[in-house]
Amino acid sequence: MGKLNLDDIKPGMKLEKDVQERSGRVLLRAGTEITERHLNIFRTWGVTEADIESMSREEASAQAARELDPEALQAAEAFIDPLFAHTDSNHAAVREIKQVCVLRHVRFNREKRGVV
Amino acid sequence: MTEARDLMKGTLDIPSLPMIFTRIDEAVSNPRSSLADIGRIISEDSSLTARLLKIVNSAFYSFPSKIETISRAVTVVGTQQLRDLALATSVMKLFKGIPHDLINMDSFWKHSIACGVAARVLAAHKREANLERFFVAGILHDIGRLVLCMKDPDWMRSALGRCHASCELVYKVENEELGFDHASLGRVLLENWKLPASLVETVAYHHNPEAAARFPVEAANVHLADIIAHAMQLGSSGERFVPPLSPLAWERAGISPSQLPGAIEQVDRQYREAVEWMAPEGSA
Repeated sequence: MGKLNLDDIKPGMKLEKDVQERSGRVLLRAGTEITERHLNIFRTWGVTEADIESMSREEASAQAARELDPEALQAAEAFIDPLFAHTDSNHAAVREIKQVCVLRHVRFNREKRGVV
Repeated sequence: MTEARDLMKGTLDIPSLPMIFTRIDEAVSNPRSSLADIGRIISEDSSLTARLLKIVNSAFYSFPSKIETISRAVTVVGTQQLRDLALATSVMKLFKGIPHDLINMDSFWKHSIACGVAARVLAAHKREANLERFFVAGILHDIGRLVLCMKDPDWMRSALGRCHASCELVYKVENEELGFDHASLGRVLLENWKLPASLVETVAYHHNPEAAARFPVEAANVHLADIIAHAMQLGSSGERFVPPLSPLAWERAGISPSQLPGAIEQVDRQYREAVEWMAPEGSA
């Protein structure tokens, strides 16, 4: 269904396409169910994304967001959203930057309050 | 453009580059000077030497063993690269006497450092050579704003006030009221300083990277780095908003969206370190 960031890929998900390292060598075949060990191999080889069956990038980040405290998430969005008033948040890159910055803001606020 | 030049006239109060940088630059460009010559010139300035050694021993490079001397740094890092780093660390001391209420210099340089670090991280993701040129371009990208603050502080104050009230972008108001913006003013300053064309063009077009004819990839890189630095809210150049992304520049930058989370994490880490070694003496 779509390319996911390595951080959003969890053991148990299934590869939709082959994963290759930069030179084109195939590391893992389509259809393989991902394990923690595979994720380590991807990190070692500098793989940053992979196509996962029936999960889009948006769904994956939405899932990551759902795991957070909704109030904390809302507060972070209320801070970050207005900064993007002049740029097109429908652009894939802007959407990604914004999403990362919202999650980062939630983390900062949590650290500030001394909750880990 | 002519008006940006006019504003620069009577450049008495516009700082010139430190002599030490000019000498390093001449030695680097002179095919007859040796690595030892360049190392000797740098070593004459003990604070520059200390700063450069801190940088080359930082996470920017992660060399396997500690680099203890400038002569070793010259060999390992390269002469052009050290020249670019020397430029990046020496410009911050040049702009003095700008009123605090107009622009907080500490915050201004933090934004510049964040942009420099982001430009370098993005270039590293693309396996570009000579990452220092991206770093220094990021450091210098908003320098025209400082010239505006020195040359016409009253106008700058009213423009920032207008933007605060109306939520407009500062560079658009600069263009509307003056006919040029801080980016084109940055170009004039860097041309006066006789810096390389790639640096001049990257700074000149960081808000309209489509127009960069000779160095489109470099301009796209700093354009994107500026957006990331704003989104991360590291420091401030006086602009509150994330500048609009040029879709063409995004294509040219050659980064995939999936690389952004990792890049932003790296910027966080390298930024913290860079702020420490870039701080002008006395303020750290």
